[in-house]
Amino acid sequence: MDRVSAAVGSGEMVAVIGRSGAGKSTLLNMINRLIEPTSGHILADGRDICRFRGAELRAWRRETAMVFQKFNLVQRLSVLTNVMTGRLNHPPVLPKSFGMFFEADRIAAIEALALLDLDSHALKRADELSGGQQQRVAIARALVQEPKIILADEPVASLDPLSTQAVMDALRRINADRGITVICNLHSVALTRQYCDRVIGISRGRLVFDGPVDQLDDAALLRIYGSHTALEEAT
Amino acid sequence: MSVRDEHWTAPAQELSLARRKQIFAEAYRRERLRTWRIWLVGGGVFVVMVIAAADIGEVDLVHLWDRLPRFRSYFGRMVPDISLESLWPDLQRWFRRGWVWLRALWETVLIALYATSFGCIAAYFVSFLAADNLSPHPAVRFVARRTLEFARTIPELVYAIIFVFSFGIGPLAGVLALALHSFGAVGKLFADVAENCDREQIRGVRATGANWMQTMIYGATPQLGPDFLSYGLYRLEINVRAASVLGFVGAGGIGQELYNAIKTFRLTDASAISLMLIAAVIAVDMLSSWLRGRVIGKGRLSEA
Repeated sequence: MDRVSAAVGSGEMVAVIGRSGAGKSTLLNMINRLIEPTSGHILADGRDICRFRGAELRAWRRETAMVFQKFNLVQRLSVLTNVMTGRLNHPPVLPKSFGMFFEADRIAAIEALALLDLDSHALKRADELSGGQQQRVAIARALVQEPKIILADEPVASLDPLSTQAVMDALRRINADRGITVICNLHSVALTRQYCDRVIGISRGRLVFDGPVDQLDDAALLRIYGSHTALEEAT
Repeated sequence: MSVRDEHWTAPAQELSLARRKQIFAEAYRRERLRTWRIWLVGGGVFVVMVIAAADIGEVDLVHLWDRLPRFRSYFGRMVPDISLESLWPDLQRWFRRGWVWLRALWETVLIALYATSFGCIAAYFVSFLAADNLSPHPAVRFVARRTLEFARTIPELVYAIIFVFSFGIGPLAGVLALALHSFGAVGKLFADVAENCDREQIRGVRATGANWMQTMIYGATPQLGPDFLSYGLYRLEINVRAASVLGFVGAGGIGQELYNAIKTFRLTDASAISLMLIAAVIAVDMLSSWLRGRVIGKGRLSEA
């Protein structure tokens, strides 16, 4: 990544688009600090998050919930426990480290699951669910973290159209109802236009577009995707 | 941990949040009661068995305490007289047959290496037949599992006595005895990890029209390689130790020397040999972790 400078306001629904390997995933992973930037700053409310260590870093990760392309649920744990892992950073931490969650955690988890229409699957093992259901479980896990931002890294890239719609609807609803900022890597220009307010375009690690979605015209798309063939693949 | 649909039908979509939470709470309570029952019964059986084992095995703490001085005096006699002024001559006296022992130790390591190689190669092939998810047929699986059990249930020492009787005194008997036992023990571990492998990768290879053997080699082996290697190397370590005992019955290696030392109460010899054995096991362990690191590749270890 090189010279990407963008400011995201609270409560926005932002799409990050670009070709494969352009650096979209790197950007999101850097915000959650799963990948360390070699230089530069990432500021949140005026604080440089790259300096966070230990408890401060873990608190930051709790505030910036990740949703992954491959869901990253723990397959052998129940759906309920998977969602409750989203509360591992809510005190008291010690008993939770040894499997003792509290009534409040369970209530938060089941409310999040009910919101995503998965409460009836709560006690199943995660690997018994379909891909779309698993991704919604992952969103429930993100929700109970009580995050300020949800970072969704290609959340629908391995899903069928119907599940895609369910997952994107859920993200949009969470953004609208709870005011949680959503930053979402997407491969599809159509989904971007349908769901997001603002678009950040990245090409070869550089920022080439940043603006509201209605300014995303053919010229801008060409700048982001580099060639007509690449652009056609994305639309 | 999971409640299947027969216990619990999904609430209809139009239910209120409060009702949904209530339904969940009931299901959760039932599920927790069930896990508690399982733990209670399992824990009860375990405690009863531990108490029974202590009784039958005559694990008597009072007796243990009474006899502790004897143990200490035996241990004390294993420590040689070494003073700082005459350190080198003392050490020379302690390891007076050092070169003989080193040769015997080398033989022991080679016995272990041969036996582990043969045992693991055989175990590799049979483990796929024995794994629940990979086996071509339940009958094959049954036979494979029972064969492995048979091979590992009989102690190495019994095998060694049989082979010394049939093939004569020497390392060959030791190699055969260890190989057979390792085959059974490692084969079971291989089969168990094979049952944990990712189905999708195997389906991916099978779908190309590959036969069973090809599917195992291209679909299963790459995922399981690091686990197989780690169990195999661990077995090598165990076998170095086991091979050192086989000499007691004439199956080659350093065991013969150790047995003689203990039998004739040359206890400082016994401690010197034991130290060399420990050094050998440490060397094998260091070598195996280096090898394993090279094979898996440092960057591929998943990080927290």
